Amino acid sequence: MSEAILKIEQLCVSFDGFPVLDNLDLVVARGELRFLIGPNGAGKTTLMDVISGKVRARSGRVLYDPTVPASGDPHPATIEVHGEIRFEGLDLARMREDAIVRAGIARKFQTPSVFNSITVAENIAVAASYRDRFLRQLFPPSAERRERVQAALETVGLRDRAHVLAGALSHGERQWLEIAMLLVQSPRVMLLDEPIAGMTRPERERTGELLHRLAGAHTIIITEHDMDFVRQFARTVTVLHMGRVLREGPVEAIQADPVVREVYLGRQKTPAGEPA
Amino acid sequence: MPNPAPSPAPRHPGTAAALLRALLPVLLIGVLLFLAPAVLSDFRQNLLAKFLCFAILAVGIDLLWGYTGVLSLGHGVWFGLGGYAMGMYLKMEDADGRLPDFMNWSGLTSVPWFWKPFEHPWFALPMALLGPGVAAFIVGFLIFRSRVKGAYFSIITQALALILSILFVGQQQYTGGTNGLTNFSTLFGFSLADRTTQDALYYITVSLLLLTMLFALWLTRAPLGSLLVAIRDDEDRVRFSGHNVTAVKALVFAISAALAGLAGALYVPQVGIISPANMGIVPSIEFVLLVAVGGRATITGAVLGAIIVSWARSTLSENYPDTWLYLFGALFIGSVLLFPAGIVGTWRALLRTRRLPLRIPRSPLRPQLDPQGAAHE
Repeated sequence: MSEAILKIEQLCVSFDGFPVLDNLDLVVARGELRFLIGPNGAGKTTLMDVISGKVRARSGRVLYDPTVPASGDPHPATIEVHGEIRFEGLDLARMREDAIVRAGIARKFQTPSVFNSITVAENIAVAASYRDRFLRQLFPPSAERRERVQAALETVGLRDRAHVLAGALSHGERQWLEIAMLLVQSPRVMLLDEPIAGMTRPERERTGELLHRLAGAHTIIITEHDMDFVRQFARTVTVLHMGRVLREGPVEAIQADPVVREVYLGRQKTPAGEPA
Repeated sequence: MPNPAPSPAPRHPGTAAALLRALLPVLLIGVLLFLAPAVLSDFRQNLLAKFLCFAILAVGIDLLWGYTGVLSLGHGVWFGLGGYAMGMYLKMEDADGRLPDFMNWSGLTSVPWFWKPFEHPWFALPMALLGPGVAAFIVGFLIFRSRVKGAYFSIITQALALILSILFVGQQQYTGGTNGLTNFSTLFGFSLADRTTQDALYYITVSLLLLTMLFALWLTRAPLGSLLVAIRDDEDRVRFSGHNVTAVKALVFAISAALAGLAGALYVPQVGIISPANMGIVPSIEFVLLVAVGGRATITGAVLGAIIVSWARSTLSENYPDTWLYLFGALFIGSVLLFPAGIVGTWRALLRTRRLPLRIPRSPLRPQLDPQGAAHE
């Protein structure tokens, strides 16, 4: 295995005392395309939240939790995070989310989140300007920047839609737009949370091929529910279960593994006992 | 793409035609305002000058609220600080080395240290902009850093307006108390009662308003403009795109406050008074309504809204001295309920769809008061 780019050691995360991630270790190599799978509540999204800085350690009393919108608090107030997340010598657990992105880790959310009242091209331009100083943003973008935005548009096939407001896009197009917003930053690590959710079959195929093209130049970590998609495009798969790494290996071995089968089948037997 | 959704008219920012279209309203407003004194009485011209000060402030509020989605209900504070900076200079000029009149009455024997520098116009005039700007940046940075947003931010700014106006009323020996600063006679040696001085002030106000509009158009059409709208749409997503949202919001808050300070400084010599009544909660809310009626996220809308609403207010109060407040309130409720996009927003929608976007929204105030983006999964 080549050099590790992301290294997670003994990561424990608990919400209000309830463990979500439990002594999790994960090493991802540079240029890898890594799939994270596991039943609902296994901790896949939480793992991405911790890496991207959305969930951060708050020890002691918590008066205000910035990761939660001010009204209608769906999350518990105390979040504990222990362990280490290393990315090229940086300790991500201590960094703000925007600093993590500038360090080279970009994240795509499960529900596509794009900026609805500006155009597709402007969405990508906003993402592309993430390292600009304030004053630089008062002047027109450089030719090189415009080319990069154009290239990102073409990679995801949205060139014809460049001047459409993002709010008018279809669900699949929004997913691609968000991927393009990541691509234009050429991040070293891309975290994709269920990137093909809500896509039609041909759209999935295109996304899968796109991911294969991107892997190598970028390190990609994907969570996915759709086992067909995983079988078709995955190389290395990590199975999470109850906040731990259950198995890790090539997709064929994982599929044949009796323990993995039991986790998935066992879940089917008792759907009522499954954590939401 | 098999998606024939009726997408809005494509926007191609940066092309010459688009630039011309954006500058046209500024040009039109400029020509009208420069010609206005020819048909207006001195009294009306003076009133219009006052409205134009509010228009400068409205552009600032529009940048903050219309574009960035941050609703400040305390802009009276920044307007007041700018006005007091100008008022202090006028007082010091009138006193000409002696003690300003109200300090005499309040029992002070010497000019307080923080009044001293205001005798120089080179200090007082920049302070009218920089004072509110720097103060707003610090206040904004602290508030935005703890990720207070939406209605909570609005409430804090409102509390700020209340606190500051109470403070100014209480510190009578330094601020002139409830009466504020008034009885000015000269500005840079020119008599304020003189017609030519007032004319000059009017044209200066018009010029500064046009400059403010150009400045705001530049900000919002630059890449920064999309970033501001992106923050309005989904602030958290902007953070996860690697932008320092706290700093950007604090800077926009500071720019907005500096424009309010400029408006205050222009207001004082033309109206002749600045008092805590100009900086409390009620004027602060009225400032926001100027933009709401004119049309959020349109610079022309903010200016037209400020002029039209102020004009309606003054006409109604002249003609219906007993009931004008009710009429004025009804005007607001009606326009915000029926035309949530404001005058210019409605006009643009009309041009685009050829249909009046008249509707009874189910809860029109919610998206306006709580412009934060949806939570992420």
